[in-house]
Amino acid sequence: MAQYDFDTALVKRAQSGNERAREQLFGQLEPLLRAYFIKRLGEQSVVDDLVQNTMLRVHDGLDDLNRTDRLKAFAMKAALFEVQDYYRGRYDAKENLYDPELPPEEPGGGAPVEASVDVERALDTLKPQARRVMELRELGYKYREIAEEMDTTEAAIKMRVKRAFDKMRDALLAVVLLLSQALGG
Amino acid sequence: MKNKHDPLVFYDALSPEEQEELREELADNSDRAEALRMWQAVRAGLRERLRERVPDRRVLVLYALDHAGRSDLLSDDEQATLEEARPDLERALREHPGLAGAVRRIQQDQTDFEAVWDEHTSTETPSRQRASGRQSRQPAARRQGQRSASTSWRRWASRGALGVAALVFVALLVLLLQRDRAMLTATAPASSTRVVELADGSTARLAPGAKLTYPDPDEWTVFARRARLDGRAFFDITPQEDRFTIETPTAAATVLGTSFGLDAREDVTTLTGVEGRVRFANRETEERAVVVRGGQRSRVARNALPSTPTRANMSEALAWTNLFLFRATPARRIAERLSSFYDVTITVASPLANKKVTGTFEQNRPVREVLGVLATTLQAEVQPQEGGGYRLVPAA
Repeated sequence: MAQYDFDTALVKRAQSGNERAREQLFGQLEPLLRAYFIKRLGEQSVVDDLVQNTMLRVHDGLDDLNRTDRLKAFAMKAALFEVQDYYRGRYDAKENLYDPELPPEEPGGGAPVEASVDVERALDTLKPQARRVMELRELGYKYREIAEEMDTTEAAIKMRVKRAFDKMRDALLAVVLLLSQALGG
Repeated sequence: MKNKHDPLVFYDALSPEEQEELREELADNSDRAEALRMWQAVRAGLRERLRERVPDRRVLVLYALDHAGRSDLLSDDEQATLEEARPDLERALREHPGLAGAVRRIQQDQTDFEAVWDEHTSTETPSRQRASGRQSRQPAARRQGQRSASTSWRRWASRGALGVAALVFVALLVLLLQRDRAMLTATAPASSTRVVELADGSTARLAPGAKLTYPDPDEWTVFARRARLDGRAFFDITPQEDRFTIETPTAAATVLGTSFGLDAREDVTTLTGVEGRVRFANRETEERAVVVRGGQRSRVARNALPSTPTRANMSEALAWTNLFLFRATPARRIAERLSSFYDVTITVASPLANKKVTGTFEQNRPVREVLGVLATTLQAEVQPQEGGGYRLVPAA
């Protein structure tokens, strides 16, 4: 494995516009970031993007780095921000697949789906652990990652999710039933 | 154990074919369709609430580092950002147990990153590296003879992929370096504005302290229609076939030819359109861009989508430009504005009162000069009045 020393002189030369220093700096940074993202996410398909985006963050911010001995902290924050951005966008594309494909349930179905569901009531039925799982999922974490975070198995986490689904469905259907009875009676 | 609801609960884990199959099934099963609709609605609602509570995930990272006792990793600006966000963030952490889990995961990420960094930057001497390399390579060499041809093929394929990745990276680096060589940076003094003329004749009027990085007119560059702004500036972009893009810390504004004001701060950028149309998007995602027209404004916060453009009072919204910005404004209105600003009576003869004027005037010019330009536009003349003040009348 290649091993480097990011000395402050190199960072200073890169900041001052020395092209060779910049090439050397980013050439050394690239495999380090790649190693981190592979270790962290293990998904080769996204690692290239994350490495490049992080390099761009470092590149764009390099001139504003006042203390050249802080490159490590600077690059680390860039990488952590990038991971958070990745998580934030992880499920956005997938979660909307269902609704646009189906005809609206009711006239005026263009309204947001959430508008007709009492989200708070549904979430209130959950115990803190189940809610934690749900929230981590919506923050972009995979069930495997949630299991690691909660020191349990992926199967156990999925079981919690299924129970959460059942509880919320029962609670929401009960409301629908009450409403329809009230309107009908 | 699987049950019939599993495909609904884990809908996003299904393959496209499985999703299609499920959709067909749900078309004939309204109860299950309703259950899926509710489930997705709850998840979307929860996601939205989390986004409302933590609109900027970077702050969560800063909080996690600080909370781990590593405030030394934060810059002064980041410390200030964190302190400002801390009350809301701590309330959100109390209400959302998942956020606490995310904080712990970020702290683990920090530890992992430092381990990888230390591994790559250890201070082993070259001779020791070579020696340890030989030791570790020898068993591998013995194993190598036992490897199958397919393993070898995969290794070369993997090397090929890495080679392509390296080439892409080098190309990116060359572009970045080329961009840097061909870019200039202008900074307005702390107490006055500065006007920068760009290569294509467009102008940027920088408010005090603003910094603009823009293409060097004397250097060819593929970034000729791109600039970067930190601070506030008023742009008058010359129409050309190529679009002009101005990046800020949070947003990207793309135009063909127009004038508008940009207030670019670290965490939020506000665009106020004066003329023409501007495509305005988050710089990172470019998702759901909005089109801002003259007289409208929109904002892009970090990690957020642009706000829906709303009507804006240009004079107020762009007061910092120190410009009079009139777009199809009746002459009598202009007179009122100038009267108020210069504290002098200015009137307009009735044949001119409703004539509309489009123009930009610098506020630091003498009133007589501004009125002279206005009179030329209106085909009028300026008559000084006895006792003070001015009156615009049709030219003789």
